[in-house]
Amino acid sequence: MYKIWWAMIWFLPLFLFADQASAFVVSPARYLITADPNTVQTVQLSVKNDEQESKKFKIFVVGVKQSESGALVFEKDLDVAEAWVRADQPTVVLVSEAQAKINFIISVPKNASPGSHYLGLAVESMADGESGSVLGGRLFSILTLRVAGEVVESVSVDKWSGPMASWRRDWPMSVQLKNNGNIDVSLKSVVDIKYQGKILNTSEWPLGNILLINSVRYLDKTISFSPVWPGRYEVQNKISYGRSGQVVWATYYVWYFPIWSIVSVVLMFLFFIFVYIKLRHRHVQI
Amino acid sequence: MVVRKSFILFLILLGVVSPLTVHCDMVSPDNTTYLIYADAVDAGGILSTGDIYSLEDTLGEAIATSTSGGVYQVLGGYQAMTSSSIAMNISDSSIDLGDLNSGLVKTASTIVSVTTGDQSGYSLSVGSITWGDKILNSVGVDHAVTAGVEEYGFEASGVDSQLVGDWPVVANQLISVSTIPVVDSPTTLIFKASISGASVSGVYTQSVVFQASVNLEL
Repeated sequence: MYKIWWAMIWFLPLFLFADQASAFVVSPARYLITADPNTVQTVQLSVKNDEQESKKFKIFVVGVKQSESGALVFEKDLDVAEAWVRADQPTVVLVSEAQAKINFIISVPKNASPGSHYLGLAVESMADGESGSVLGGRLFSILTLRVAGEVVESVSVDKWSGPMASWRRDWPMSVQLKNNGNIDVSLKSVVDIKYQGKILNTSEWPLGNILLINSVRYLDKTISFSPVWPGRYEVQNKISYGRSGQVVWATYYVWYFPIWSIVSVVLMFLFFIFVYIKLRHRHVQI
Repeated sequence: MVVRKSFILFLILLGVVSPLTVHCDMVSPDNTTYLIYADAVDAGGILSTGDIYSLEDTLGEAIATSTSGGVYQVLGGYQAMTSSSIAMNISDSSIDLGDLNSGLVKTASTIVSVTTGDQSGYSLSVGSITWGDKILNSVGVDHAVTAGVEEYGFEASGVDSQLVGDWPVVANQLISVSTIPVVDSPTTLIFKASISGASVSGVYTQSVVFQASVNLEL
């Protein structure tokens, strides 16, 4: 029976339709708009069909968020501003080598709060008449829409940690930041290692691209340097962010015990035990 | 008595206080606020994409005024865009993995190429997928499509590829990243499928949309 099962051949044709009609170009690649509440602005996107045949393109708007590593994620219903932006045409048909300009009308509502919004202006190549299949290549132009008013730059260090104690010279550290403000911020980090109040080592720690609002950035990095003496070392991470250049810092203490210090302590301990036993033996004899 | 005192002295020298006491301080200063002003733009407010515009520095003096007491005023009300573009080309209109059987893993490949002059580079990912009537199981956490097990996934290779092994074909799965401008940077995608003896027979179809964008600036 086992052999019969192995002899059975399941015919399962699998057809995967990938995009060949996505040979197209979108420009510009990014926009930055600042607008008052209760105003209307328009931005324009250019789409060019580089295919040898006529293609139909779908035009739409999605929200943008960041993953913990800083990568962009495009999804519907991520940002309220998706409802403020619409394309003047939902689709466009381009013959080979043709180019079209698509207008995106931005209507900022009267009660819009100040701050940043991130949107993807999408152009997607569509299949013609393929049942059950979508021939899809999709390109985004990233739109940063800032509503005028008072904005707050605020970044918190939610985590700054490493080894509690170590005999190694490589200390794996982790940092987690969060943008609690209502505008995106750039990030810079400098890590100082101090011992008894003196800075022994300073290094820059790249934190990646700008941090969008409500986004969390999580990074691991191993700090390597050459401590000499055992004891408590202070590892301080100073993070400056945004246009205001605000600084937030976090300190973590690492107890460093080089091998020679551990061996010395053990030998000292054994010596004292030996002395104790000797003295006790002499006391008993007396 | 002398011995006991010596022993106690030894313990003090050794340090009875735990050496593993650690302390972490975090300090966040007061938040800083600033104002974004939006002035009226020129009539129509449309920037033509036919001309070349340089990227405007949002941190430059054209926008920010001097600071005082932690309050910042930013002159806004403008539109800025890059002169760069982004392009994508996929080498195949369809991929056919043929007849699957439980004895081996079937594969088929395509190449996705991206071009952009943006200084931040690009990111390529799976945008969306649509299955037909039947669905194959995604590859497991071992990241290897295995013969005799119903699994489906893809492998990516290329200078910008971020993936090692076989990965599920799911929306927003990151494939390739470059942090510099590129011209026709190719990523080869090898789709793989295998079945088990319990797999349901029939025709399986899936549509895949690949998506690309420039990255956020530093």
